[in-house]
Amino acid sequence: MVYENPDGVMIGLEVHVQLNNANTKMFCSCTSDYTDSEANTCLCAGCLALPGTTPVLNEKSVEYAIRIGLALNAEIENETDFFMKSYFYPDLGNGYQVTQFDRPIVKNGHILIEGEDGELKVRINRAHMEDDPGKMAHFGSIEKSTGSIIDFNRSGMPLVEIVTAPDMRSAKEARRFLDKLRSILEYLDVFDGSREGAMKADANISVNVFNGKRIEGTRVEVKNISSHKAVEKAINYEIMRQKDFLRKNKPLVQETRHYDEDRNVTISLRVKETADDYRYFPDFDLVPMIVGDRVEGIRATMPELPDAKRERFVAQYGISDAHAKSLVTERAFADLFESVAAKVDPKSAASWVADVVKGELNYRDMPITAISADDVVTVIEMVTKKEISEESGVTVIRTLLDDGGKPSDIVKAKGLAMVADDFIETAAKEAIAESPDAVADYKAGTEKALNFIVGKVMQKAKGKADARLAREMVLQELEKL
Amino acid sequence: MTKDIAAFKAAGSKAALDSLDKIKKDDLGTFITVCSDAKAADSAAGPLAGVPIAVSDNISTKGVETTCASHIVKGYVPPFSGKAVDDLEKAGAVIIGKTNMNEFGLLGAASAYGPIKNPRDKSKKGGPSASAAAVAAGEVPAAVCSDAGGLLRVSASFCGTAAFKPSYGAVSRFGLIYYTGSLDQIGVTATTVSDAVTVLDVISGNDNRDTTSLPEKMNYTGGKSLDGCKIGIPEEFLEDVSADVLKTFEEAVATFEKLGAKCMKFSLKTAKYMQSVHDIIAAGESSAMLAKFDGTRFGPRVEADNWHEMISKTRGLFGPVAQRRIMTGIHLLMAGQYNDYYMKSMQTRTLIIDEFESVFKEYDLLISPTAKTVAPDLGGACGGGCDLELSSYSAAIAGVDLAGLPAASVPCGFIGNLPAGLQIIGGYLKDADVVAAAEAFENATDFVKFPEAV
Repeated sequence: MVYENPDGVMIGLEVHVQLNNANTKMFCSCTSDYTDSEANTCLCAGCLALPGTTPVLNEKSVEYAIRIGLALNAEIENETDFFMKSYFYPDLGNGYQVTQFDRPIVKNGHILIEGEDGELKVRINRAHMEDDPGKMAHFGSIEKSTGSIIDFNRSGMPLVEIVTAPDMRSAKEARRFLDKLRSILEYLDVFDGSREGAMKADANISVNVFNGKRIEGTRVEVKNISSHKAVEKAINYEIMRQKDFLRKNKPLVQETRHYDEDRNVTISLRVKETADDYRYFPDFDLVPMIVGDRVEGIRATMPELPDAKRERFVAQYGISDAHAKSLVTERAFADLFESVAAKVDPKSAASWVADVVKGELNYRDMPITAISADDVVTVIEMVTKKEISEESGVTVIRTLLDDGGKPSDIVKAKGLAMVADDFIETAAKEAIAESPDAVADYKAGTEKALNFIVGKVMQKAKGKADARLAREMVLQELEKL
Repeated sequence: MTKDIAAFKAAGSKAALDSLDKIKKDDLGTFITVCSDAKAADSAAGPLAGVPIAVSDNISTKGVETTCASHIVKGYVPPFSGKAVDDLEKAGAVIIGKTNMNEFGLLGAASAYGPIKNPRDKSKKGGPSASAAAVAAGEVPAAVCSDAGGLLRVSASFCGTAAFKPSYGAVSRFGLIYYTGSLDQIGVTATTVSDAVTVLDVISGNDNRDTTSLPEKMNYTGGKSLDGCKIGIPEEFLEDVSADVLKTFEEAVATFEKLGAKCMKFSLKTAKYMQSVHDIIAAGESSAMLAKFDGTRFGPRVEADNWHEMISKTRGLFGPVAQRRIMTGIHLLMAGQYNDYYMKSMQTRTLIIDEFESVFKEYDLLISPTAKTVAPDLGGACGGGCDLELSSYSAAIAGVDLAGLPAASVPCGFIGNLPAGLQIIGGYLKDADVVAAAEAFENATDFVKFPEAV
């Protein structure tokens, strides 16, 4: 099946990744972990851009940029440098942003995502380093605000901006790209994606087919979309808007639009008649960096990335690709799986971790640290040894998450221990005696009638029987008739 | 009239008070801020123990107003000190005050605090920085000042003091409010080269807060003797030099020859580009460096209904020359002309550096007049130095900045009451050779003692 892309949609993304695990900001020694701090408490003369301060590059942010480049299968520039990008804005203390220009540290990479019609290669044009400005807050809406305040805690945070080629053809693909990118970045440990503003995307969208004919589309930039869900919605809205304009023969202009998440619309911010002139020029305060000699050392410390891990899980543990895929999206789940798989049957481990534990955690919006590998192993072992039913196993996991405790105590407290075999045998006999019609149907060849009888046994055991054993017992008794 | 470090030291705990007393009587416009409660720590030790030192007002001093002689920085009190200031204080020096200067050190830009008069003749200019005037007036034995475009060297030439600007990176720029970071370097002026080097030695050394800072501390001693030394004289550096200054220069050449050096004129091919390249780079850099003065976070603010109007009005506090320099820089960096001017200037700068490098394979040192004339009359658009809106005083000054070379200026004669200066330039990191030559020249002449000895 080939995806037709009937509207000739082309989507490119610019993703800003905040390297909030880099310990300090990009050019000073202020902490990069300001999320829980009060406004304007994580700053110094440097990131407040007081006169007479000079930037000192955080080497860790360079290492992180290289790690990202390697994970994106990209080239790392041997000699790279910083430029000043000038514009006036209240949250930009220096009046210029330190960024990169024609020699970005990372270029020509790609990642593979699950596209509309199978594997899709999304090219990465470049990834460059830059610093974040402060954060503005307005009293009321941005247009009618009576005043604004600035928090400089974010000022000087190290960012990597990843720019893709316009290779995505639908909002779904764009979202999958972001999901995959986020997963990779979390593996690299360069950022904590759960922190506010850790990842932001701008999307460039154009519709290039109208009435079945190829047209020269108009590229519209939708800025500052904060969540992956919003990206999908914003892009879908923008595609719809562009198609609507084409249908009504209204002119589309190259412009920057803002996505209003509450109203699910994009709003025009400014029309780009000419490209903005940011007066880029080399930053003379920072000498050019030679990084080529650091690449191999960093490559040696690269973690196994999701794609490689997924392949290894299938090969090494014999689990299904679907389970492997689910397990590797988050490194912590993959690690949990491997800890569990070391002690029990890997296939059971995969299905318990991927299907039960992950689902229950997501449902509760709890972190993976809420459950231990040992407890998962204990539950799986109890089920395997038929001490409890699978259903009870799930109950134990849920209780562990909700109330804590030890699996064995939970089994005891909730009376989940499986009933004895002779109880099931008796129950099977009783169920058969109570269900003459079903027995007759079964004998006449209606397989479904068996389920009715087994269900009755399970009822009698109040769910604490192994369903497979109950079925065997019923069959055994039916044979005797 | 002047007093050296030893003389101030001899005054012991009275040194700072003497200095303050002299500054109080001063009508030259040398200081913007005087630290009147400044006194030496009782147990001050170190090479500058108790010695009062002046610092130009574009170097940050913790708790002391730092204005860059501009209305737009007025009232700003830095919460930290520059590396040079910290080093001076560690060495026991007393920061006696902040010297006047052209606004932000821009040549041609008037100080918001009035003109700087020449202590040798109050009807003449004291230079674009008052650091040399403060020394020449005997108020301090030495002053620390940045030197982009000749701020320090030209002032020293006008006032008859010695000045030394080390190789780029020798002194950390941390805390220096520079407008052109790639061309600026902190230096020292004093009554003698030795005194300038004593202070320079204190403020030199690596600083991990300034990535352009040299990894090793500069050694200013053990330079080459003038005996057998080859000295080059770029012909282009003599162009437009006044006849009387040229005469003092010729006498200086004779002195060098007498000391065993061989002096030869030659043509420095890139010299004709030096001032233009300096202008373009300095303008571009200043448009970015002076962008932070927006009334948002520090310094004065002209209130208005919204931020855009506020920043426009606040930035109107820049003097007219600074405003034009910023606008020029913005224009030069715009995409339409970037390649034609800025890019070409950077490429030409590389050619200039390359030519200096090959020239210094041929010659040990280069010499030139520091300034083309003696101190000019007060008045004109700018009270301080030259009235031309150029970022450098001359090609001889611009070239040194562009290549980050070490250079000294020493008095080399007097025209009437006014001194002329001699610039001695060394190869990159050959600071010690410049120091040795400047000291030898100084010892062979009497100019530092003028007018007492003449």
